[in-house]
Amino acid sequence: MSGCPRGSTNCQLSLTELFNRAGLIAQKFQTAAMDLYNEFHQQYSGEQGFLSQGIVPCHTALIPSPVTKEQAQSYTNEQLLGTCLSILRSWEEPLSHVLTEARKLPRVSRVILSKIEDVEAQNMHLLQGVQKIMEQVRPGSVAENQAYSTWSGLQRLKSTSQDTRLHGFHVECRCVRRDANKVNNLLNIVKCRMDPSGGC
Amino acid sequence: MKANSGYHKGCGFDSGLWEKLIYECPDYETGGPNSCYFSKKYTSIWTIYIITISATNKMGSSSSKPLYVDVAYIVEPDPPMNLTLEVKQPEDRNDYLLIKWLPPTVVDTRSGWLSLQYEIRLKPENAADWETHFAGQQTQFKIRSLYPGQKYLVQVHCKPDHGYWSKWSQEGSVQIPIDFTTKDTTVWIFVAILSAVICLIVVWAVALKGYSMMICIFPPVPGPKIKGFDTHLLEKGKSEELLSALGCQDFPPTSDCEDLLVEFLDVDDSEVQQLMPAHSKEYPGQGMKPTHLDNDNDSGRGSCDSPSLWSEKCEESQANPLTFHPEIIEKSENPETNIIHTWDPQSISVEGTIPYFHRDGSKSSTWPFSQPGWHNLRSSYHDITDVCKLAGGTADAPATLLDEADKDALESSNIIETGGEEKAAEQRKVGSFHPKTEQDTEWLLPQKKTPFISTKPFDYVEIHKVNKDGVLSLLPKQKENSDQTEKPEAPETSKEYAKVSRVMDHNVLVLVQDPRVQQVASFEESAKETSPSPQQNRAEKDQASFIATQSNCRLQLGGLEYLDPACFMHSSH
Repeated sequence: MSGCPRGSTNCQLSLTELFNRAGLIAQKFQTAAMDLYNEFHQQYSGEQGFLSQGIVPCHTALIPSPVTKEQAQSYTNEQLLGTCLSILRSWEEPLSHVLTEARKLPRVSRVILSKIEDVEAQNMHLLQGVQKIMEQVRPGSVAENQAYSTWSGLQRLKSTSQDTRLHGFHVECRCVRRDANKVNNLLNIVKCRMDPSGGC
Repeated sequence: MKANSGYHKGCGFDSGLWEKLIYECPDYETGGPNSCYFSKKYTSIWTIYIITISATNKMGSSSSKPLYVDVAYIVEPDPPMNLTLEVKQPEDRNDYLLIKWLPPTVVDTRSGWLSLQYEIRLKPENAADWETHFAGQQTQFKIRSLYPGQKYLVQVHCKPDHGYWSKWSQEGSVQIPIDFTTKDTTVWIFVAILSAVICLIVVWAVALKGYSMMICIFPPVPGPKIKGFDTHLLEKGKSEELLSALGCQDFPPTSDCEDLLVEFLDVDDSEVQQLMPAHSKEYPGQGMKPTHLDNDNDSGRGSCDSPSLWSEKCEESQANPLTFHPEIIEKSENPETNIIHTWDPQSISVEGTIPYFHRDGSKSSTWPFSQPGWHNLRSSYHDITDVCKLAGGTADAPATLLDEADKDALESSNIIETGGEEKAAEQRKVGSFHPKTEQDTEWLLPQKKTPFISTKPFDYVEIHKVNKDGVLSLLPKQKENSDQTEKPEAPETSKEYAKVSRVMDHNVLVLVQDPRVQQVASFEESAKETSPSPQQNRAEKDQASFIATQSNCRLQLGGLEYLDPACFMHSSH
């Protein structure tokens, strides 16, 4: 794996290398989110009350992203990367709250807490990686300017009603699993466009 | 009864609104009975769909619990296609089977929209169980260890990151050629068998001859250790090589050569008896082997062959009672204690000296410290190389070197008187004992024997042989053959021997004059003042070990009773 030689000050990883690393982290992110979702439902499957509270839209639903392959192929690289950045930034705050509130859950297992930590870590790493890729794809762009969604799910997590609380966690687990899957997919599209030899 | 399937569209993003669209099942046929088929037109990825089934009859209707579905997680792709099997037989490597395939046509992995993982399985044609291998995201796989001449069946299937495994592809079959080799394995099997056989043989040999091997390996004959001393050279009898190996470069010995002053004091029991027939048989059991009174001083007798009475009588002493460990030698750091340093009998460190057999024609187990003798010796020790050679000439038998040195020393004493070079060399040999490394080792120095020394020439013990531990076996100077009965006597010199009167701490042998001479001066000189006694040095060196090992061993050697130096220590003085 190529890297920056020691002592170099202005060294940049190649785009291929950045995509390789980002791809790996995205996979981990996706796997961690899936594990969290499964673990949560395994732990609280008896509490079916939260499932009946209906579907709550994810707070990242408003971020424009393709839902079909054709749509995805109509997006440019910058647009796809921008979507990824927006999604990842949107999850920074909610995930930290999810971790804090999860510790107050009844009979919360250490496994769930570690899975949440894992998801939070991968989210942060992937955000940094995609920012670096964005800087190379569109030099001069400032990743901080990327719009992201605000989160209003904290109330649910702090609710006094256990059902509401569990429902809140269920929503966040479902949404982060989906968004991890989405980001992984979109990144793969960009990667295969820019570096077709990398197993596409 | 009519069943409806409807799905409630969840988080639609298109309009940014929370949409609630309910679609009834468009197709009840394609999926078979009790199925509903929503085509691509109705489904989007990353959208939650709620599926409910309601049953209605004339009595009423009821709905099932909702099923939440995100189509991204329920994808089951088609199986891979174009499975090809090829046997590759490269020249410089093992043969292998190369399996290749293509992803299903419908799945678009090229754009990155979907990424698939693959798994292959294979089995010999008539086997019952499949052997499965995970292939990751690559579309080829190599298999090496296959049975030649067999026909194999291969299948592959795939799944998306978070989805279901596809069905297994069509079987591919391949015939493995007869000459399909796995060379490496064969070689390794052969090597393993050979090693096992060798191990068994070794174990068997050790078991059968364990004891005798132990005797050979750990000879009972003690011997001094000379740093840099190569007993193999001793065996060959090539003194030159041995001495050069010891690093004997020049004389006077420089600090480097300190270590070369090995205390060769190999007191052969049998010879000790001979040595001290006229003396009380209370020669300190310093653990020195009596010098071998062998005819062949240069005989390369192995320790196993050592006729040392020591080994015969004292079980414990098998481990070289007179082993002058090299450590002792090497500990010598005080230049003052280094015989080589000054070569001045006065300043020669007693510590580095070995009990020196002083015989005037008679063998003795003690090493006389005769000042004049040392003086005389000094000249002889000017050539360390010679000394080393003297030692080198001895065989591997522990006592050999001592004997020879002893003999030579004895001769050298005469030589010194006569100025003979040759004997001086021999004497040097004797004297080439490693200075006692330990400060406390005290050797009787000839200094105090001045009166004695002045009157009689030095009686040297020649080094008979040196065993591999560096133990010098000393022979009385004039004794060529083992003399069990008499002590060699110098015609004009009284029989004065320095015997170990006691052993001080740190393995210092305190030699006293032969009682016959009535000079029971215990020479407890510090290294600084004693003249070098090559044998002393060596004995010194070995003494530490000897004392350590033989502290409780009373050496009963053929009637000759050696007092344990340790006991001696406490008893006398």
